[in-house]
Amino acid sequence: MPATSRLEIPARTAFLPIAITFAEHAAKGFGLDSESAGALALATEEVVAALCGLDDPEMEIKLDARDGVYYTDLTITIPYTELALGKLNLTAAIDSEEDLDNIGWMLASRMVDSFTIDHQGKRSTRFRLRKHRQYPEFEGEASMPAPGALLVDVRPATGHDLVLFAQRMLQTGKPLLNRWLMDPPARLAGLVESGEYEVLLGYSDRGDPVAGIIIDRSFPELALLDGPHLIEQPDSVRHRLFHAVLERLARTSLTAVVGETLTEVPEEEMELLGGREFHLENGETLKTRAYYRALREEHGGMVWGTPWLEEFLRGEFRRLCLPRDLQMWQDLPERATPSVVSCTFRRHRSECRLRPVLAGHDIAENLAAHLRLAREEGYRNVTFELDLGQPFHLAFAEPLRDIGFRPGVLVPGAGKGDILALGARS
Amino acid sequence: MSFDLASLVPDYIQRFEPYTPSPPDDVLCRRFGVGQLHRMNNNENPIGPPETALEALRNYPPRDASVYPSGDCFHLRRALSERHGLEPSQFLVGNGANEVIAFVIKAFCGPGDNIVTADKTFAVYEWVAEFSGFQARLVPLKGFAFDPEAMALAVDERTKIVFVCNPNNPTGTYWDKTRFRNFMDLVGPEVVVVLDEAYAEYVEARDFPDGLSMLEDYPNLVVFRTFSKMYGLAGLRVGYLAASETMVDLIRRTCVVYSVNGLAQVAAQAALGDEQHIPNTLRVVRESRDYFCRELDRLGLGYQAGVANYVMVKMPMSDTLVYKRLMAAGYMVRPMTTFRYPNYIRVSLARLPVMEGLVGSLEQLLSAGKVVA
Repeated sequence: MPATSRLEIPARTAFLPIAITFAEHAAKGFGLDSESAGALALATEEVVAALCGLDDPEMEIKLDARDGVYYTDLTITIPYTELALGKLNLTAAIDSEEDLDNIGWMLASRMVDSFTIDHQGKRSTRFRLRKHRQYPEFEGEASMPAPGALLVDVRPATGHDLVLFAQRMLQTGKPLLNRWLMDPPARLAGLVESGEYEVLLGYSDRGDPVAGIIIDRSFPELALLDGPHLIEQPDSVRHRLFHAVLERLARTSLTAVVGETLTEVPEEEMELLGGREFHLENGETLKTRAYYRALREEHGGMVWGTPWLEEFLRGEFRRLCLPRDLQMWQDLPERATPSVVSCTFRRHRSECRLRPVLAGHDIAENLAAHLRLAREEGYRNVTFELDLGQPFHLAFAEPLRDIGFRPGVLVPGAGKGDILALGARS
Repeated sequence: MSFDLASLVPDYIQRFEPYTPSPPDDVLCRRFGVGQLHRMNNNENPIGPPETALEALRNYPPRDASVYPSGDCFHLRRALSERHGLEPSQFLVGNGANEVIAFVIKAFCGPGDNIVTADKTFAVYEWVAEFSGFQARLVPLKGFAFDPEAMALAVDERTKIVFVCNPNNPTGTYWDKTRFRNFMDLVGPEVVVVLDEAYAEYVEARDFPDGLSMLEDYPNLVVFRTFSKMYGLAGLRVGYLAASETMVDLIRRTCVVYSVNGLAQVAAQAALGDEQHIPNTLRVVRESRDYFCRELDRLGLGYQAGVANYVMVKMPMSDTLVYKRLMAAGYMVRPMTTFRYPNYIRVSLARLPVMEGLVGSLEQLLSAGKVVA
């Protein structure tokens, strides 16, 4: 069980110092260094101050600190209120570029490694601030496997083997889509220790790690794969690693594995979902391929679409052999409430992911503001995800088209229905 | 005031994923756009129930639906007794073999106990153990067969039951008499050994052990049989176990009476009286297996045929993709990733015209090439 700590305060500025102290002490207690703990405390201050500015002194703010081994999370939760709804969008009250600096949660997002605003229906709204633990940089040279070392075993790994494998991968100089997972190498061991990741390593006959695949297990339906990564191994080793993953996940609650890779997808194992250009923080652009593998029988079902998306969706359903009853969504009469969007910023991937929370009267303006904000903040990969099993999500489709988003990858069964990821044209 | 119901549920239940059965055929046909669906995924009998069972079903008085059935399958157990030369009290009947698996695990396992079985076998032993809070120790198959030495090594002082599926589903391999007896000697009398013979009636090999005939030698032996496979009554759900009277008396304490309905009891009893049904089925299955294996050789596909009414085929692509493509052609097979055999499909042997249609679809699928983005 991860260590956790909670503080509950009223939404009044008088309590702000308590929130800051709580965040800093919890972060230090969970192993962050002073600089990182300070940054998390400052980010907490920005969010709590912004919430106090909603002028609802009776509102209760909950702060939950959690030790995730390779990170510390500070989650700030407030109850759902109709009044606050529009103001809880990341872009609320941004009318000009000057206003950006006045927005507390935007400032907060700059101080942490990952920042998420999401909403639990009509129950609550959460702001999650995540600061990664610092690991020692890899310096020196890792011993590489003996030439001609043959892979004889694939098994889950922990600790030192993971560090050695990551060091070797970095030393190969191969481009890595998710370099962050292995750089610094000790982080890879931390990811596994957290329980959110598993790593299967392929060992040579000398017990040396020569290949690996990283499995992100933090989602209920899907496992996200990174790899396979090979160190002087023939391509056929990829199949061995994929099979080991499939056998390991076969009787779990997962319905599929998905991944993104820089190398060719072994088509015998995976279904290709599509490709995209992934922009790194340093300005480099990588061409990636997304793949998918169902772990169970596909039983089909009903999903929602719009006329704009119909051709794309029908083409993908045909190509991926997905039995789908596609229903056309129709807009409801004008809504009185503002629209709300969830967003996650991941600085190390230069990535901003947006999802609908509530449809409203201002979708077009709201989306445009979010896109502008993400670009102002320097995020190069902006994605909007529509769950085709949730009809209100389709209210966002045409407005997304109008500001330059285009359908990218369809991930079968990744939500209540299939998830369609749309990318913004740069 | 909301209450988190999940907090009432033990961790091992929260972790467990409920099984999602496939939708009924009419729904699947509509979704996959086919007029007819050949079910080749559940190893049902290709010729259906015995004539005697069909007649019993036709003659069942509808008004008897208002009366509770025999709570302990009185007449059916007597018929089984006559058929197998055991006492009626040595049989316990359940609502399919799945229920019987639960009876045994509930009877013998307590907190901290475990069961031992193989990693690539019928999943229900593992599932029932895990959602009951007991560890399932999974021993890798050796080749395609249960590994007796490794199974015995996996047994410890907290092991209560060892499940051996003979012949194994999905590989169709079996332990012969000698291997089985050696295993019983190896594990000794202090652990219950369940010999699941769901497909025993399909096996024609002379060295195949008849578990029912060995009960006298091994007081710790429990044998499972079912009416769902050879007897073609899968829709009625009747399975049973046989063991020593002492063993049955212990297990029956966890048995819910009235779980086997009246129609099922009558049909199962009648099925036992049809002497032509088993040879007729074996003829169809043999012919189908020979044809299918020949065609798989021609197509260059590897396979594991075994001795039961199914064949595992190794596909040069994702089994879950093959499943979808064959569904779109009207053939429902079992993708084997869930059995921890990625890229294999399991095909239940059907009558020749259906097998020919399936082979045609496999051929088309192979010639269509790989998935193109």
